[in-house]
Amino acid sequence: MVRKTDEELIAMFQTGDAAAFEALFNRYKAPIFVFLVRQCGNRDIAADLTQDVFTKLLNRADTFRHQSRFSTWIYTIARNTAMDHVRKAKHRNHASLDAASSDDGPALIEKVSDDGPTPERGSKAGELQKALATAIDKLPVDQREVFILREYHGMPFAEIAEVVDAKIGTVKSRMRYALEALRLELHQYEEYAKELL
Amino acid sequence: MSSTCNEFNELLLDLAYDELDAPTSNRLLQHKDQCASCQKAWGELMGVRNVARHYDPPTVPDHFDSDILALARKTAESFTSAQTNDRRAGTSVPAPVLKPPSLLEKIQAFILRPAIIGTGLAAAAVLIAVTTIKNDAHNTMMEPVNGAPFVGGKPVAEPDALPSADKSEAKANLQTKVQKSEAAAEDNTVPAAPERIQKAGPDYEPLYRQQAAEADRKSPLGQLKTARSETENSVAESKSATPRINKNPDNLLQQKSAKGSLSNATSRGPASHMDDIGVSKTAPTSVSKKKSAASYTSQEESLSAMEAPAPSRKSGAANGEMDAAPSTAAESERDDIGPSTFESGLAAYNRGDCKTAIALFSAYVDAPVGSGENVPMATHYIARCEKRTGRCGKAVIHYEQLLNQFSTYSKRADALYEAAQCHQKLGHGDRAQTLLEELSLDPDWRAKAQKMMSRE
Repeated sequence: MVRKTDEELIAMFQTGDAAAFEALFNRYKAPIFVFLVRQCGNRDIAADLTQDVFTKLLNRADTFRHQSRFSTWIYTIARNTAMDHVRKAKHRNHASLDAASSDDGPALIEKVSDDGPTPERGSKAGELQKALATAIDKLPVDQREVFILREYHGMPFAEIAEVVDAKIGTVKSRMRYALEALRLELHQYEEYAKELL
Repeated sequence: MSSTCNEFNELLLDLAYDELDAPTSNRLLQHKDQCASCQKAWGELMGVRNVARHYDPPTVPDHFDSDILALARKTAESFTSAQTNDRRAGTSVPAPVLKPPSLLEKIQAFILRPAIIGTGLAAAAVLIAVTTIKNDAHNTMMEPVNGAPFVGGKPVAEPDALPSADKSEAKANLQTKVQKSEAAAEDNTVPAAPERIQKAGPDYEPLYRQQAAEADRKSPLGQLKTARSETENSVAESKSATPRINKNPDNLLQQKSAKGSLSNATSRGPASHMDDIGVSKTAPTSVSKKKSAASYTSQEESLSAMEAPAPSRKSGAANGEMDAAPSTAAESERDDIGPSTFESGLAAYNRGDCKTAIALFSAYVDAPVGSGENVPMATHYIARCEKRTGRCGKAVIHYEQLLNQFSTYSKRADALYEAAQCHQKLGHGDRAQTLLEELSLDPDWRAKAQKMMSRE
């Protein structure tokens, strides 16, 4: 069976095929959730925001005119949703209960990266995981989003430029800065990472 | 550095992420193999990418899948019905735009609703008909001015006043007009309106409104609104009931017993605890959590309204005036402790000044009336401050108070986890176990709780 493109699926949904949306939902739920986790730094919030993104998408599904890629559209919605959340969170001034807790409670990075005990826990692989997540979270938002979209979502630079509403040169520049920052943070794991590959 | 090196540097990212055409890519890779500096740049970039590949994405939750897919089905249905309507109308208009309507659009939609138009037309027709019939009836009773009868409020020339040749024609015209008015009155009776509404009302509009309402309800803001409205209703009901209760001692006893039945309820004075909704102050977690928080708030408000009134209200309450304004100096002093105290405590906590934070949060929590919006959160902060400063013994008192009194506190899971840590440090294994067992009921915390339990 030939895999239908995103654009074909959304077109089918626009004609009333609910199953087509389900296919899109299954295709994008995880990437959007992962993108939002890294953008807002909290799994619970990211889950709520993911729900918001798909609700917005449904409410605007008919406005998709096939002039851009579906992925560009949904990531733009996701990015705007995350930015709205961050903006509101700043105003709330209650970050300390939502974000990292400096005492023994679960820290932000634990909430994000730790899904419970794994065989690798305590091993170098687990350490690498944690260091990587921390390094990504440390990146400035504009660099982080570009890095995540290119590295983990395979989005071409031109498309990222559309999503983040910036010039392609700016996007590449942010990507270079992000990679350089990560290299400095994670250089000690390079050899180990090579061994694992 | 050669021009190829410049080109290599310029296109390094495109090369690494395979965004170049094959000939350019091959050419640059060949250059890299021969150029040490380009090889180094390439190696550094690929080294980071190798590390980045080990990123393990978090598990995707699925608790909202059914909601989204249900909404998708509704939307799909609306698309289908819209297209069916378009086909019937012989148009090829694309699917309807489901963007939220502006205020003006809402007003227009309300005014131009088929039901409103239909009812309006029917009302106008009935009015005309009634006026006509009334005038007609009036004319039969009234002595005509100069012998001319009235039709439609205007005098019509009496046939007798016309030339004899036109008399019969004028009479016939008069009869026709009266008959038409009567027929119009019959045609435009009220029952005709629903038929028109049924014919004219498109399927799309109600679905659209349902979707908008549903989306509204699902949004954090919508849930906050729902929670607030529930709270307001609850308060309104309690307020409306309270004056009657105060006048009747039997009812007061009943109220007290009802208050007692609310398990784990706070013993504090009236406090709204709006913060417990968890939306305005803290991040939203899950729909069920929000709902329970909202119901808790509502319960709290009801309880607050049922509580014995504060001294300033006593006189007013006796007269059934529950909204009497505070008047004493003591009250104004108490009014000084409020949201700003909480905010100051928060600022102190954030800058690591636990001592000041505890003092401020304690003042906030202990304030007798009116400041308790964030009491659960303030209690949580006190506990955290104590824990942070190594006083686990004191911390557990506050954690236990928080867990017992505010059973639907939005950050209950965090509190359970932290309290369990304190109990473990104090050697209270059983209590820690109980708390962790409760925590393990939360799917998001299950792994952590089990991990801690296994450590014990």
